[in-house]
Amino acid sequence: MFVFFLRRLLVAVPTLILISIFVFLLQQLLPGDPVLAMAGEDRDLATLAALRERYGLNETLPVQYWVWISAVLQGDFGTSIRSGEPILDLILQKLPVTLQLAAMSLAFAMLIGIPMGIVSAVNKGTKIDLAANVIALSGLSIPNFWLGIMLILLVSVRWQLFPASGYVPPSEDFWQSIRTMLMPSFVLGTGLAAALMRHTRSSMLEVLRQDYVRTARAKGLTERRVVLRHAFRNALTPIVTLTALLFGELVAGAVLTEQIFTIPGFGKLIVDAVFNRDYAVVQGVVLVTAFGFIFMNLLADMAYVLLNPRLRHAR
Amino acid sequence: MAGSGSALLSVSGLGLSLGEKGPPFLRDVAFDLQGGETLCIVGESGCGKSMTAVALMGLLPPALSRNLKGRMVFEGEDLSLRDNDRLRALRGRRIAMIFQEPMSSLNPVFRIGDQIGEAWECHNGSGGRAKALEMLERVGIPDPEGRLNDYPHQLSGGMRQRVMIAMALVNDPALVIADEPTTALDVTVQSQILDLMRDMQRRRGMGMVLITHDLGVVAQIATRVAVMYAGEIVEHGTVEAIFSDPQHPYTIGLMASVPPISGPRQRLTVIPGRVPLPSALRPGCRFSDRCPFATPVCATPPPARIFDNGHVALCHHTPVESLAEAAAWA
Repeated sequence: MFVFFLRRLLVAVPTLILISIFVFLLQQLLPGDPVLAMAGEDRDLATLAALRERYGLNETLPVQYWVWISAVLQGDFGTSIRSGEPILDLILQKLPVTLQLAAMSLAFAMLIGIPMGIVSAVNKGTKIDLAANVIALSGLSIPNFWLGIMLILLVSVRWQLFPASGYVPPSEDFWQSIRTMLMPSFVLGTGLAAALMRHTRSSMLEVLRQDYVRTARAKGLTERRVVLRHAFRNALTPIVTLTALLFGELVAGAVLTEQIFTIPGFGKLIVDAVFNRDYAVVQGVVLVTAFGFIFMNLLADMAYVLLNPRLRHAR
Repeated sequence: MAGSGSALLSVSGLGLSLGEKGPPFLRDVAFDLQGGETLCIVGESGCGKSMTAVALMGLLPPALSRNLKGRMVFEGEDLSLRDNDRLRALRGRRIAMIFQEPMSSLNPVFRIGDQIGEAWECHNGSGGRAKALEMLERVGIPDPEGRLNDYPHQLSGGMRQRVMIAMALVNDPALVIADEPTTALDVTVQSQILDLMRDMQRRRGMGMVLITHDLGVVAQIATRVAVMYAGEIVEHGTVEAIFSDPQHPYTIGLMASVPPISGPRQRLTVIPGRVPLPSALRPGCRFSDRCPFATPVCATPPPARIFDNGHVALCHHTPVESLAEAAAWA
């Protein structure tokens, strides 16, 4: 099993290198010149040339990449072209905010989506199934930003139950932190819950047809135990895959959600960096996101092995 | 034949149709079983053997069980085959089932020790692991202690079927229903498994309903035989009667299609045609369109002709002497 993990870890390395090259090249394709943005009003050629020289933008692409990646590997993502702050500090400051949002959203998604998927699979073809599917479809169809704005209007402005915006770190006031994050994570979680529900349903339907489920019933187990233990354990694998893949959507959704609820998180950092053509920040942020994605998939692979004993003995 | 008081199991009027007014897929299936006896239900694929077994366990999918009819008297208790709560309480404890495919019938993500133990614990509370070990030993699995923690994929087909048997017998059931337990196995392993089942049955005095299409298995293990065709039991009797004196034309055809081991090689005899689909069933004798002895009278429901020793055949043209006559007219 250890060998499997090690191998899986090694496979991730070339992927990361490729991603870093891609991220680097992406910058070259983007329209707009960072030097122009930096120079602002003062656009005489001498200033522009000096800036280019200073940031090494006259070097060839491989040299630029090498300089950048070797610094990154030492934890130096460079400084923001805009504010001059070290990018690593910016990321470390914003990342926990978004991680909290992502974790709470995922929790919402799983708490709503998985039970709904199971119930709807067990009651396939009944009104319960229909109702669950209608709810899931609404969840998929309602745009995050609309739901967010409606919730702010209703829950925050009219009923004054939860704050409409802002962020409190959990280290400062844990419950207040959860309270402020509740609405944004609900908004972000509902869309994912719908996807999870659909996948859980189809995965459960597939598993419930298997012979071993009939065997479990033949033992005289209660239907509840048959479904939750014998069927669900086997249905989990595709659900875990989806959850890992949802991480990408989670980051994308966070961008929008953080704008609506004015949360000073990673998503806002991305948006601001792109609008400001702050290339160095964009590179750092995309790299960290890609790393996160690969890490999530690695976790999913490890979860498979724990869930499926047949993989444990495969070499 | 159904309803005699001392039987371990007595099934009567078992019927199943597809849809509310659909044609009957199973028609008036009835049989008795004494403790220690083995009843083999034989017939071609699609004749309703497995359906009958699954119906007795209360394991039909809900869409089908809605149209299920029939009752059974089991250990003196008279219950409807649609009484799901009662059937669930009996399942695994008094009535156990062994399935055809040991590969797919064991849950791939649980250790076999836990799967056997669970069958014990869900009716008895605790002590599943010790019981699982004891059962693995009894079904002849080498190094049972080491095997307890194995997953199904680590075992061979024959071992997996032994595990299934251990799981089925862990609660010392009075009745075991085995649905083609050896079909998916190698021939050499088949007879080991049959020996094991017969041995366990003798030691515990269980009744067994064995579903098979293999007449070799029947000859080896059966006390009595029920021949099923298109959802009906068309002939029923002791194994000796069925093999030496088959009365129903379908049974005669089945016997004739077994290739002889000795003697000159010849073309295999086959029964022409195939089992009719439930939608194509007719009110009269269901075998008549494939029967070499069929006459116009076969369009009416056949009578149950009774011979010695509870030997019954559902045919207009029995006893067999008159079959020859029928053949002569045809």
